[in-house]
Amino acid sequence: MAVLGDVATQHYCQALAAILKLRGFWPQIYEAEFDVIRQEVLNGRSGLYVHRPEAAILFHAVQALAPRFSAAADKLAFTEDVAAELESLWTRLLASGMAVVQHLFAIPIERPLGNQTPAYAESFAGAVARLNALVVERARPLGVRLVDTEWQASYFGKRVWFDERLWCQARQALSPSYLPALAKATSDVLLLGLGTMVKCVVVDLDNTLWGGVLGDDGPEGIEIGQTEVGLAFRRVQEALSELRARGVLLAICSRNHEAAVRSVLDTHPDMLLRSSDFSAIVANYGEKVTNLLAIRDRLNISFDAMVFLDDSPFEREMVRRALPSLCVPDLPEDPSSVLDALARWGLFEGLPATAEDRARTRYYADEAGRTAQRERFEGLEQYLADLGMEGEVVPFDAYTKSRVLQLVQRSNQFNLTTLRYSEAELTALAQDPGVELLCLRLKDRFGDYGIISVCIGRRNGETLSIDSWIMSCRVLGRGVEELMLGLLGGAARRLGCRRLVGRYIPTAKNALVADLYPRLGFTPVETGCDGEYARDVDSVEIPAHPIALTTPMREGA
Amino acid sequence: MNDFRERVTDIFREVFDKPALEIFDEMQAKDVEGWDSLTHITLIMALEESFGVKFTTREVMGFQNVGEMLVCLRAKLPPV
Repeated sequence: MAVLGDVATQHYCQALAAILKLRGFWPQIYEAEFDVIRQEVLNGRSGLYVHRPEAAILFHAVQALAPRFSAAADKLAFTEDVAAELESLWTRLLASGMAVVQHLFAIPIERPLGNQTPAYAESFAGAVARLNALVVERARPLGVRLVDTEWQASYFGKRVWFDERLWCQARQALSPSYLPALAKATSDVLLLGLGTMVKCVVVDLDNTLWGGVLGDDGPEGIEIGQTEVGLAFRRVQEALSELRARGVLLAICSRNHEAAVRSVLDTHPDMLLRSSDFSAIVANYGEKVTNLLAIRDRLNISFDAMVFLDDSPFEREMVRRALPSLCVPDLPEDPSSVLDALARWGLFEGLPATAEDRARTRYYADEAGRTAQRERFEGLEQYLADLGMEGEVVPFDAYTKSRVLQLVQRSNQFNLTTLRYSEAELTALAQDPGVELLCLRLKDRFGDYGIISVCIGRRNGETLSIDSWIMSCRVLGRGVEELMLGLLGGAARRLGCRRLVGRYIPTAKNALVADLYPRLGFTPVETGCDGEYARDVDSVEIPAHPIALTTPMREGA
Repeated sequence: MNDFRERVTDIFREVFDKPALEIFDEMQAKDVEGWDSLTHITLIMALEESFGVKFTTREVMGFQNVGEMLVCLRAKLPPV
C-alpha cells in the first residue's frame, strides 16, 4: 500500500504497519515524501506507480488546509474546489487499479463566530464541515473508502487530539497518543471486504440484554426500559437493533429456558428486540461453547466473523480458551458504558446492507428455523405435550364471524382451495343442514391463539366433500391438522357419510399444503378432477394427543 | 542528579535503539546515527512523558546540544 500525506506520516505508517501485522497482514508500505500528494498521483512515473500498491491512503490534514482557506478569495467556492481536486486524485488512482482510502478532515476548534460558526461556510470550521459532507457524497459512487478522522478527533476530544506544538514543530496532524486508534481505524477500512467483517453478534441475555436474571426475577422482575438500569439496557438494545438493521445478524446464547426467553422477548412491553430479530436463539442450561458451536453451524458463519457479548468474565474466559478465533470483548460492568465500548472497539466496519444481504438475512433466519425444528424433533412429542394445548370447536356466530371471515378471505398459505366466501355466503353455509362449518380455537400455556382453523364440509350423498380447509400458519406442526381431520370424520359420520373427499387447488402461495392429503392418509381419486383425494371415514378418529378437545364432539350416533 | 542522568540515558537508548549509548553534554544530532527529525520528536515526547513535563516550541527549537536539553528539562522538575 501507499501512504500519501500533507502531514508527517512516519509515525502513522509505523502504527499502521504494526496494527496490520497484529491482525495477520504483512504490508509493504510505500511512504511518499512529505506533502507531495499531487506530484506523486499526477506523475505517472512517480515512486507511487513504481511501487504499484493495491491501496493508496490519502492523509490530508485540516491544518494543511488552513493557509489555503485564508488565502482563498472566494470562501464559498473553497469547499467545492478542494472536493473537486480530491476527486481528480481519486479518479487517477482508481484508473490505475488502486483502492483509494481518504481521510476525512477533523473539523478545527477555531470558532470566529462563537456558537454561530458552524452555520457559516465563510468560517473555516463551517467550510471544513461542508467539505466533509461533499467528500462523503462524492466518495460513495466511486467506491472510495473513508477514514472518519473527524469522529476520532471528536471521540477523544479535540482539545487533546490536536497538538498544536507538534503541528508547528513536526507537522504532526494529531497527538501521538491517538495515533494507534487512528491507525486501527485505517486498518479497519483497509481490511473491509477481506473476510474479517463481523457478520453476527451473539449475546447473552441476563445482565447483558437486560438487567437481572430471568429465571430468578421472572419476566416482571428483569430490568429493561423503565428503570435507570433498565434504560441502560434499552440503549444497548437500540444499538444492537441498528446493527441488525444494517445487516449484522443477532443471535442469543444464554443459560435460560428457551420458551421463557421467547415469551419474555415477545411479550415484555419494554423489550425492543423481539425473538424475530434474532437469527438463532439457543437458550438452555448446557455449555456456552457447545451452544456457540450450534449457532455457528446453524448460521453457517465462522467464528472470526462473530462477536460474543457476555457480562460474565468466567464465561468469556471459557469461550476465549475454547474458541480463540471468536472475538469476546470485555463487556464493561456498568451497562451504561456499553455504548461507549461498542463505539471504541470499532468492530463493525462495513457497508450498509444491500437488498441481497437482506435476502441472505432472511435465508439465515429460515434456515435457522428449519434446523431448530430438526434439532428439536426428538423431543418434539414431549415438547408438544408440555404445551398443554386445548382445542375447542366453536360455533359460527356473531362473536366468531369476523375472525372466521378474516381466515377465509385472507389466508393464503395453509388454504387448500382458496375459495373466498363472503359473510352472507358463510352465514348461509352455517345454516345449511347438509354443510358442516367447523371453527377451531386453540389455547396453550403461553396463551390463547383464538380461532386458528376453519373447515367447510358439504354432504354429497355418502361423501363429505371438504370444500375449504384453512389454518393459521403460526400453529403449524402442533397436530392441529390431525385434530381437524378427526373432527371432519365425526362430522361425516353424523351426516351419514362414509367417505371424505378433499381437493388441493394450487396457487402461488399454498405449496405448503400440496401434500396435506397424502400426509393425512388420503389417496388420489382416480376418476375425479385433478388434485382430489379420498379417505374412508371408518378409520378416522379424533387423536387424544397432543391437543385435548374441551368441547365434546356432537357425534350423531 | 545521577539518577536523573541515568533515566535520560535509558530514554536515549530506547529511542535510538542503542543499548550501549552514552550521552554527553556536547552531543548533537550528528553524533548519533538515526537522530533525524522524526526520532527527535520521538525523543522529546518520550522525555515529556517520562518526566511529566512539557517543552515549549521555542525551547525545543532552541536546543543546541544534549546539555542544553538536560538543563531545560532539569529546570522543569521539582528541586531535589
